[in-house]
Amino acid sequence: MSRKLYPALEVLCVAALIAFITFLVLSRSGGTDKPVGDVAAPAVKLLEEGQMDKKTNADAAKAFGFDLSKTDGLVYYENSDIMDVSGLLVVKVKDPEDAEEVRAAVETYIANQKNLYKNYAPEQYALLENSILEVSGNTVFYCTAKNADALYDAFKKAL
Amino acid sequence: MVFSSSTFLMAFLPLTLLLYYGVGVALTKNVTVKNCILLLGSLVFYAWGEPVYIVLMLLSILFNFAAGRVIDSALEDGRTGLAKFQFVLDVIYNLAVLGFFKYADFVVDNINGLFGVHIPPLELPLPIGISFYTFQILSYIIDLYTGKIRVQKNLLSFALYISLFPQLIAGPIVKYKEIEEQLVGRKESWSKYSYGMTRFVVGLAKKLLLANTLGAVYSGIQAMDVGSLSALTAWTGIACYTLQIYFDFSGYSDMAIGLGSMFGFRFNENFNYPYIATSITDFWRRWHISLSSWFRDYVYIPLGGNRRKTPRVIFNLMVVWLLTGLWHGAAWNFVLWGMFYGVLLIFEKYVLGDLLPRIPTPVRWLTTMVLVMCGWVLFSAPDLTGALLYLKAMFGGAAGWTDGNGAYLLSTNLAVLVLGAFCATPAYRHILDRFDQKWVSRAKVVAYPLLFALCVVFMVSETYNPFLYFRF
Repeated sequence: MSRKLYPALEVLCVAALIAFITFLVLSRSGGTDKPVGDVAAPAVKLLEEGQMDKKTNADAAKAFGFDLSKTDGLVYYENSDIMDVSGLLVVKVKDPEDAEEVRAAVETYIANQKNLYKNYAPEQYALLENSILEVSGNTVFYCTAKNADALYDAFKKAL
Repeated sequence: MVFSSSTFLMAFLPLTLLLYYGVGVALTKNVTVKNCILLLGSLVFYAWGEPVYIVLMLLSILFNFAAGRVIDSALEDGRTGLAKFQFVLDVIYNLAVLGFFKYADFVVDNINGLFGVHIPPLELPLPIGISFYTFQILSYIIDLYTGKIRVQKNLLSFALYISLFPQLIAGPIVKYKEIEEQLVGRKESWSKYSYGMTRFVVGLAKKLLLANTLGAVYSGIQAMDVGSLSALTAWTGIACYTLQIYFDFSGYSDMAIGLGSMFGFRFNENFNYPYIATSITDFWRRWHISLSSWFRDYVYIPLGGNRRKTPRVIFNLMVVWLLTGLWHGAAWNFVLWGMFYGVLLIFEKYVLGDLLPRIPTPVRWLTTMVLVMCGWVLFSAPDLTGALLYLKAMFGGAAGWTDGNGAYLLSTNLAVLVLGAFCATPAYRHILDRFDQKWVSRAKVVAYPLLFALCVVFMVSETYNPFLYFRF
């Protein structure tokens, strides 16, 4: 390559970097058009036998306290054992602005769970400490599980 | 991808080795082919977990390769102004990328807290290994500009230097001058390969058998209400973390050095039994050596090092330790952790001075260990308040000095603590040296495969598997 082309390559790299960062920032708030079942399916597939049980939308609304009428579908799994805090929730909201409301509801749920388990179930508390709660545009992902990272990766890829 | 995962051990590594030795070494004997295989493998390795950030690394490779060529051309033509401009531009590019991805939300949080505004944080995931590969790139650019190395004209070699998978995501930080010749002239051999394999197994065992076990104990203690921790519980917890972080990070370095050796490279050591140090200065000569030497060569010495008057040397030391703290994380507890060491090193240098060697060695060692463990509290806590409360608990300020819970935790984990403490010293080497080396070699032939098999059992049965230094 000619010496004179290197400065041009640098300019191209900087332009590409700016474009890349813009894409990243925008895609963080992008969300998805897919049905929530499709988005959640790869994460659900990673659940181990007996790790969690499928729950209804009403169960989710009861546990987390958010308004079901604002959602465009949700997938909720939870371990039925009271001594196990494992849970997976994927919620798609109709208006992306409502995603923050769902997030706040899940945050409150996590805080309450932490208070419950802090002093007598340190392992469950540690799981809650490492729980993942992310908003991607119109979709909220929450997971407390020993393999939460893997479930989140699967969810992200499905968006 | 993580070294201690079945994907890496059962698929990625065997396939890469097969291609490297089968096609690169046996068939073609061509360094370009070998480097192509390693580069391809490294990119796959990096892209496995966070595929989108491969773009960022490729842009860094291209930009810095071009910048290196421009700096070299300008220096050759005697256009020092242009060379300087390009050098400054390049440093800004690298620090800006690192700053944006690592520190932007920290700055936003602080602005929000200070001025009561609500700027939304970006919440971008940290590109894995960015702190490590940015420092490698900077070592290349700085050494090139100061005439210590020749420019790399081969994009493949340059890309391999930045992305080489064994040390890509958690070090050791390899300076360009240390590896320049190996990129084109390394020789693979059976002795290097077998050394690499055994070193890798040792690192894997440190991580899976010791670090994860000790880490689980500390996580359990961290999950308790800090106000209910007796000093005994708090010290048991931090003792576990002290050993966990050593085995975790030095285990990763062992694996990186071992993998490098399997592919014909030689990386410098990153640890030298830091927990036998008898002063803080000594500790930092033994802990994360590649980072300490990076800051010494590229920050401390350019600032004037210790050849200036005392106030300036103190300033230089504090700058280095502020940056060391910030390098480890975008949070105030990391800043405090760095400053804590800065103050201790200044104290040793200017207050204790010649008195230090006259203090009995056991006293020096014990003091060093207590200070290092207090430092790990700052390092491991979720925030500054949590760290200060934990420190209070360590000195009896939360729930007294001892309780049944602390005694139970200590007694049930004593064996792993003692084993960990033993393995963190060179004692086992001294013991092995006393035996007939012929028998030691034979025993190792049996011991390493057994150790590996044990690691696989742990790997399959455990999911708690994070490398602590990945977040840096």
